[in-house]
Amino acid sequence: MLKIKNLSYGKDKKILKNINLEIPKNEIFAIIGPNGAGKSTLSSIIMGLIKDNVDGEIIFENKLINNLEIFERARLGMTMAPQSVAEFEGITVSEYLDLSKKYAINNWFSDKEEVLKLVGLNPKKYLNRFVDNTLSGGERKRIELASILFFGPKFVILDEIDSGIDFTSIEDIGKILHILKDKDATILMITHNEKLLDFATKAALLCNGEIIKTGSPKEIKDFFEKCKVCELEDKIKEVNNRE
Amino acid sequence: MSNIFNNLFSLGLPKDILNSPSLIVEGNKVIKEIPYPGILIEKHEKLQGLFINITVLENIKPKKPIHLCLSKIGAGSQEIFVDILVGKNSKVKFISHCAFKGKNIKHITKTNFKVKQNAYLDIEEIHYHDKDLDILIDTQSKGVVEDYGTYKSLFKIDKNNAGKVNVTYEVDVLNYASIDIETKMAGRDGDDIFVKDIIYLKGKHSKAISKSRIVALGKMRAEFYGETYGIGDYARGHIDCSEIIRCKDVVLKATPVVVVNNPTAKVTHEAAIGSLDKKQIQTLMLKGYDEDEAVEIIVRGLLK
Repeated sequence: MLKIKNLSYGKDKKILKNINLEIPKNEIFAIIGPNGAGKSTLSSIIMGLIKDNVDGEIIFENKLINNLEIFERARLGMTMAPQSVAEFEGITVSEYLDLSKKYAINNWFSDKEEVLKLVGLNPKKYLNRFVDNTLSGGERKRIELASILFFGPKFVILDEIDSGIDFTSIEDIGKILHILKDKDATILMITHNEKLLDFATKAALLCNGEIIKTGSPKEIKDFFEKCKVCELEDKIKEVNNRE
Repeated sequence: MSNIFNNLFSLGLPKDILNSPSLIVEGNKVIKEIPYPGILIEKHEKLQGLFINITVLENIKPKKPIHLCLSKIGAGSQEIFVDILVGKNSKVKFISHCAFKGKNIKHITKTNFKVKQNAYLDIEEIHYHDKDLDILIDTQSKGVVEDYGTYKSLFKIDKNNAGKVNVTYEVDVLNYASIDIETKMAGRDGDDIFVKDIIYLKGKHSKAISKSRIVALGKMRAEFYGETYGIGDYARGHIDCSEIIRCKDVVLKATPVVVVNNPTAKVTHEAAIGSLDKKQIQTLMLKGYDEDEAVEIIVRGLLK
């Protein structure tokens, strides 16, 4: 479904280096890595939020999409729940969910109340609230997930889905992932939380802008432990080189 | 007559004004009135303009809004002088539909209001401007909100050119009374907008919010000036002005002034002028909207 070939990003200093990935249809593909590894940069590049200083190829359903705008990629069926979600003055939750309908790819749901319940929000309390700074970051993120369920994408990037979210258990996130998978969507999950790898079908480890390893979630989880000391090792190398 | 109504409805006015309690004025003439029990309306057409006295008797609480429609089709001036008295324990909402079509129009309104004890007055002034309208708007509201009273006001122009606009509010807020003044405008090429809110929080525990949203969609000038005085014990006030720029050669200015001379009073302010948040635009583009569509959605929300 999505292929990334020899992707690099950066002008002088390369933030991403020669990334190669292939995400088959209906996979829950996790990219894990420490803070600053380049995970969110990679998701921004895939969705077209960053286009300058990008080398390599991004291919979605056999189509090269490097030159497409964000909305053009969305109309092909790609979308993203960003790590940090925007607030909108004067737009209610109900209206915000309706906004996902105009260019929806699949009509998975028609009942807003049902979708809000799926993401753990009481529709009676939330449908008429504004999507502005009166909502907590966690509430806002749940509403973004609800809006993605309404959009019905073929491919969705969930960037740090659990950050700022007050899910009572990790299983709540698993529930959303499984709904998406059951609806035949392909999911790219960007995270630094190893626990989320339990829901993935395949995973890759991104460290210092490079894909270090791709494999089963279990393999990657074990390997990630080692990568946590990447930075420390780099510093040791630096000192050794100086000497 | 039907020609005037056809013009008004073509500008977007809701048709139910013909069936609801209302006062419809074209130029300086009253052309239709549907009364509501307990709300007395006196009209005097004079040389200087139309004088309207509205008295809401005590304990009157209409469930639906009362419509005031002020229109001017063609060139010329409309000058309206309004006195509103809302009696004790009454609760009333007026929606003032202001519809204009033509060139060289002047719309001047001077409103004096008094909200008596424990009463509630809500006035929405929504403008309907024709595409090629050339207008000067000068609207001034001055009033007192007595103890435990509430005053809410919204002034809105969001479609087509706003024109040369001067909007002024000056309100005294007495004990435990509260007011909420909101101005929302979109300006386009050639528009010149000035909004001034002056609020005196004279009473103890009096409260006020003065909020302004101006979006510059073309080459224009706009200024918001808000002054709130914290005078009464435990008075609380807030000025919130935000102006958005969408193109070059725009002059936007926002000046919130807070004056507090009582140690228990508190007045805060926030002012921002800038472009739209890129994150908002991108979030909507991720749902398939192109940039222009995304901007329109965001601006519509801001001005709602």
